[in-house]
Amino acid sequence: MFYYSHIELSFFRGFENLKLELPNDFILIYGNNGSGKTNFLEAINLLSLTKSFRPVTDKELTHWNQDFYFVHAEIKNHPLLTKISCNYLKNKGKKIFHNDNPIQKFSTHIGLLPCVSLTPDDSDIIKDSAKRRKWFNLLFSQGDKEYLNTLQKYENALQQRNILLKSEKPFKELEPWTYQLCLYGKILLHKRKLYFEKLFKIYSQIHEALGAWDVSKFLYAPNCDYENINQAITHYEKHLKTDYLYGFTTIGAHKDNVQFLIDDQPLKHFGSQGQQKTFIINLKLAEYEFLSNHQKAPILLLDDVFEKLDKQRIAVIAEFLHSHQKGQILVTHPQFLDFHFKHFRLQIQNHQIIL
Amino acid sequence: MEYPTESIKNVVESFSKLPGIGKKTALRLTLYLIQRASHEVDSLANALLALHKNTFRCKNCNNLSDREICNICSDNSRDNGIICVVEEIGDLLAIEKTNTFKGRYHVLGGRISPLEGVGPNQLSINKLLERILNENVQEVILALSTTQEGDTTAFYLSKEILSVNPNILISHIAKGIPSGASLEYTDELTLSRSLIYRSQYSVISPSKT
Repeated sequence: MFYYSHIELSFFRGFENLKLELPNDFILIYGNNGSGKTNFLEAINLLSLTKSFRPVTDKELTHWNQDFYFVHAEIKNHPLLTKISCNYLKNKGKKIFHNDNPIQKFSTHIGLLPCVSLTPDDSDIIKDSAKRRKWFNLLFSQGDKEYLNTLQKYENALQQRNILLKSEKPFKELEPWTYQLCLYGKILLHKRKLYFEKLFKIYSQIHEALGAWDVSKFLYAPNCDYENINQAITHYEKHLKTDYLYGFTTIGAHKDNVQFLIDDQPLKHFGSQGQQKTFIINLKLAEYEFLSNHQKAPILLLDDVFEKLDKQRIAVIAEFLHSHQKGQILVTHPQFLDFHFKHFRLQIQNHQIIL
Repeated sequence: MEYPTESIKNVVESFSKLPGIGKKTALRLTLYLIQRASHEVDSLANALLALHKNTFRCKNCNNLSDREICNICSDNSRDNGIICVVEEIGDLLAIEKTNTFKGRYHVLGGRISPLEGVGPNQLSINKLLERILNENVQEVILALSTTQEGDTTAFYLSKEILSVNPNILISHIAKGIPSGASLEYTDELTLSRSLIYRSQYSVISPSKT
């Protein structure tokens, strides 16, 4: 399985210049608050998915007072890539290089270096349905190129249709775009049903293996469910009046959702802090398994996951990770943690590695 | 940047408005022109003036022409019963170069894209429908780009065309692998589409126009 064997960061976040060799192993990165542990994981997320896992601009990712950053890595055991770089220059934007050649479309990069990250911010997907949609779209896009292609076409058609609705153009002009929404929406619907079912199956197994004391589940709730395209078109026609009134398309796959439930009640209202945290951890582990089944094994980034968990729980999760490890796993923690299996340790201080 | 004279500045700025030409190239072209004999520059200037004065849009098909009706529309040897619809004049010229199409053309002048402010009213669609009614057309070939906007335009046009003549044959140019390309490097979408729309293999190459 592929792994990052060498990482170079220049003027990225707090790192002025860092060069580091990494093994294909379970890697624990420890160090004080603000020493750069999360920033290091961000760099790996950037290389894998073209973005940080935090909602930040590229300018904010640069070292203070600098107008550029440079992130480079060497990859081993990958069928296509040996080198990957992501460079940003103010006013010029961000560029991604595959084996030193710039790529034209970022979307072609998604899925090449699959990655699952678990950060404290991830609990937001329990509360925010827009973030939830972003989350599952990114996950399925990593596992399935066609999903991403279809999603992009769907979103383009949606944008075009919304402009026509806003300017109150006649139905005749809307029709071709409505047709495309139905066409691509149907593919998305089908794929989401399939993938959520698979994901849930894996989730249930993990939930049980890690000692579940509650019944949590998630339900895919499509905004409109239909068997064939004609049925969908009639559905859109019925909502045309509302669409014109609001000036945008009010139904369709872009309004799909997934409900997180605990004992059949919404998790965001009825789940305790601990239950919510456990849910997210198990969900991310399910993602990891899901992508491994669909694609090459992803890189797993765990940022501050063991924080606030008791010793026993940490041991259970670590044991699970160890027995299910398929590729590189990077874990951050403020203090040194001792695992009873073989692992690699990195101490980080003031954005420097201590050897 | 400071230019030596006002006229150089004017020319540089006019050149740099052309597509693909920046300030540097514009200056290079201007300096080149200054060094040429004045009659050469005159002929260029006259050609430019004549370009706009003597070029018309064909009243029939929207093609470029130096008369009201273009050469293709006034050519009697061409087949009246078949119209090839293209987005831009460049597309028409490209198809003409292949020498395989002997029907008439219709230039839309773009494709439907609300994001860029182009709707059906900005395109020459009514004229096309008029022609279909009056010219005894049996087939319309849609030679539009294979983007989502091209697909939308094709969808819209075919509905409109069928509403004026339900018996007409509407076809679309084949979408598939370009000649000389290897399968290995063809993108998945094109490859899957060319598998779905595969055609029967014949030993003698088809010579249908």
